[in-house]
Amino acid sequence: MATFNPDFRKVFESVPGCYLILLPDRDFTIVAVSDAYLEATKTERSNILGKGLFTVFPDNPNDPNATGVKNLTASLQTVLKTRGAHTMAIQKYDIPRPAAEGGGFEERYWSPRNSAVLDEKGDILCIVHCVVDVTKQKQTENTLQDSEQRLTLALDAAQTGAWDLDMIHDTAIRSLRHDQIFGYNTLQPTWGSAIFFKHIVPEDRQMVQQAFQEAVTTGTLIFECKIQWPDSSIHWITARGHMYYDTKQTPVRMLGTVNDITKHKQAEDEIERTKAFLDSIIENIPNMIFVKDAQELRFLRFNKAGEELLGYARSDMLGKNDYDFFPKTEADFFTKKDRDVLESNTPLDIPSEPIRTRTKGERILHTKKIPIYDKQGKPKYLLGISEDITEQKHAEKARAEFVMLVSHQLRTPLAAMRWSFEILKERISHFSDTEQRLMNQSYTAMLGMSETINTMLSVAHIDTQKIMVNPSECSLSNVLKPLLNDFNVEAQQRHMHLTLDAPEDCTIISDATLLREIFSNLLSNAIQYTPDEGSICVSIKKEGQTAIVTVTDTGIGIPENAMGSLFEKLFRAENAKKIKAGGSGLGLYVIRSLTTLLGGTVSASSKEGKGATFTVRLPVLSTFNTP
Amino acid sequence: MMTTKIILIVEDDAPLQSNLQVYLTAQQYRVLQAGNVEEASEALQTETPDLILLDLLLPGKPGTALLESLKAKECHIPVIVITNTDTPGRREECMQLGARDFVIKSNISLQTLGQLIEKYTNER
Repeated sequence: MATFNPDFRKVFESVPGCYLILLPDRDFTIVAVSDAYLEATKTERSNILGKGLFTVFPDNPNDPNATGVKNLTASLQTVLKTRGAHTMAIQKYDIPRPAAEGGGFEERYWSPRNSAVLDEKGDILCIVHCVVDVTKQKQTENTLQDSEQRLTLALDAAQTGAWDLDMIHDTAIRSLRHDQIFGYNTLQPTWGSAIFFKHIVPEDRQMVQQAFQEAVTTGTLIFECKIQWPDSSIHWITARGHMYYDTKQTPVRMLGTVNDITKHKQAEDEIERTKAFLDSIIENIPNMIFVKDAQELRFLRFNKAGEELLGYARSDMLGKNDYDFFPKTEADFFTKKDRDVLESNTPLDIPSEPIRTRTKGERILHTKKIPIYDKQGKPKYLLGISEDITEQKHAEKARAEFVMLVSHQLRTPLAAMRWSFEILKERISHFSDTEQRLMNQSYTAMLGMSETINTMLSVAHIDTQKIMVNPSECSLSNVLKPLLNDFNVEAQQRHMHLTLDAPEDCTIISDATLLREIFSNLLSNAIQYTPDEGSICVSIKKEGQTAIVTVTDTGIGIPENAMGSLFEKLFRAENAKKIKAGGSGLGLYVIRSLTTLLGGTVSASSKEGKGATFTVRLPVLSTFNTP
Repeated sequence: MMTTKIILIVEDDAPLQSNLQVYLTAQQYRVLQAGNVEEASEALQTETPDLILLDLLLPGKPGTALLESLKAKECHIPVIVITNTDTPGRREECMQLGARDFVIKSNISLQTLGQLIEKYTNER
């Protein structure tokens, strides 16, 4: 037998484990240490032998929660008391880092065990302090805990519930959020596929069942369904899962997530409803509505009114463009307008455009074309809305013809009456006073009727925007003098002073016919609403590039509350109604419309009972507001 | 001694014809009457009036047809259009065809019409 005379200290020091031999004294003096221990604690034998355990390994002063010294002391005291062994729980016990490595402390976790070594008498000879460095394991554990915590946070933030289904025993581990999604405030004691299926509304069960069956082969589960909560309310969920198999390819486990998508579904439903609502409006609106793509101008959308108007079914229209349906000149026109709208990014209003239809012949449309942009602001679609104004146009024409006919039919006998009176008036000296009075009354009434017809015609022309402005040089004196002469006949009969104050003439570029109508109306009003023996003064002056004509009378004036509505169609002030019950309320409307058309303005100033002044301002070099 | 001036009235309405005839005769004019454009053209073949009073709405051809034919013949007899239809643009159309004036019958007194006639006949 080979001899073995070992140096036991040497053997101990070489043991592949972390060991200290401590004396059972007050300081737990270190008397032996293994090489592995020195390496693990970054210490040197010469520096620790003979020193107290806690002198070498104090608590980390930077860690306020450090309990290493306290716990280890307690364990060693237990060993002293029991003379046995004591295994400690894993301890965080940081070690001093050598100055060469930067000093301070290094985080460490240890699994320590202390055991007493007894002599023959049973007294404690020494204590073996054995530790395993579990720092790496502990750090991994901590990292895992951290990521689990982060995952929980993320799942919570995404309102996502997590589940882990054991398919052999049909039990599932879930997060609290999972059970909350199913309507429970706390985690339920048990869960499995059977319980899950009970929550699914009957009409969705088959679909979900099928999703699970497919997951067995594809490995992936995904579905959306409605569930019923314990309080009977209905909610939408979406679930995703991943299948795990055993070696025989039998599915044994499935991990997944679940989300409550009720709000999302409600929003989706709302969008659907809104879309259906808009579709219904577009479909039933009596105007043609179409949408073309901005690139090739092909029809993408077409409504019922469009089908009826053009005489083509939308199935014939969609995907095609104007050249497939309209003569080339018309298609060229439409396409050019479309391109203009898309290139200028500006909506376009086409008040009147003819279009050839399949069954209704040529129709006239009022069309609006609007560009619709994508998110980058580039035109993506062209929206068109067209109103069929053919009947309206015909009616307008018929009305204009009717007005023309009526005016002619009424004016002709009036002219005959007027001229007959005028011939008779040449012989007025042959008539008695009564006969003269009757004749003058009839003549005045006839002139009033003529004026009413003129006003009505003017309104008809204004309302149909049929008035044309024919600019020429107009001397305001030349326009006003003949008018004053005409009105002077009545003025003289009523002993009124009708005067023209025009120190210098003013020539403007305007329309003489319209000017006559404006001033004739103003003078007629002044005469009507000024009592006998009153006075009316017309003045002409020029201020810079503006000609100003005022008509001032000493008549009944205008009540303050009538000022705002004075130029409105059919408006009549209360005091005017008392003087002349049958006035039309159109005169000032005509005056304002025509003045505006000539690029001018008209205003009134007055005090009731103290006369009125009407002021017409006209540009010397006109900028006409063409209708 | 002043020669009597001749006025050709182209008017289809009898009372108006009569009014104008009475008034203008009293004003010492010689009056020729035509009820439509054809009669007026016929009259113009034998007479050279100093002025024409021309209605527009006439049986058969419209009054503007006479304006066109006068313009084509470069005939410079002054024409005053007397009408009761002042649809927009009508006045300008007539002036472009050579009419010297355009009046609405119910809006003009015989006296004012007489002044216009005097003015245009004296211009010749």
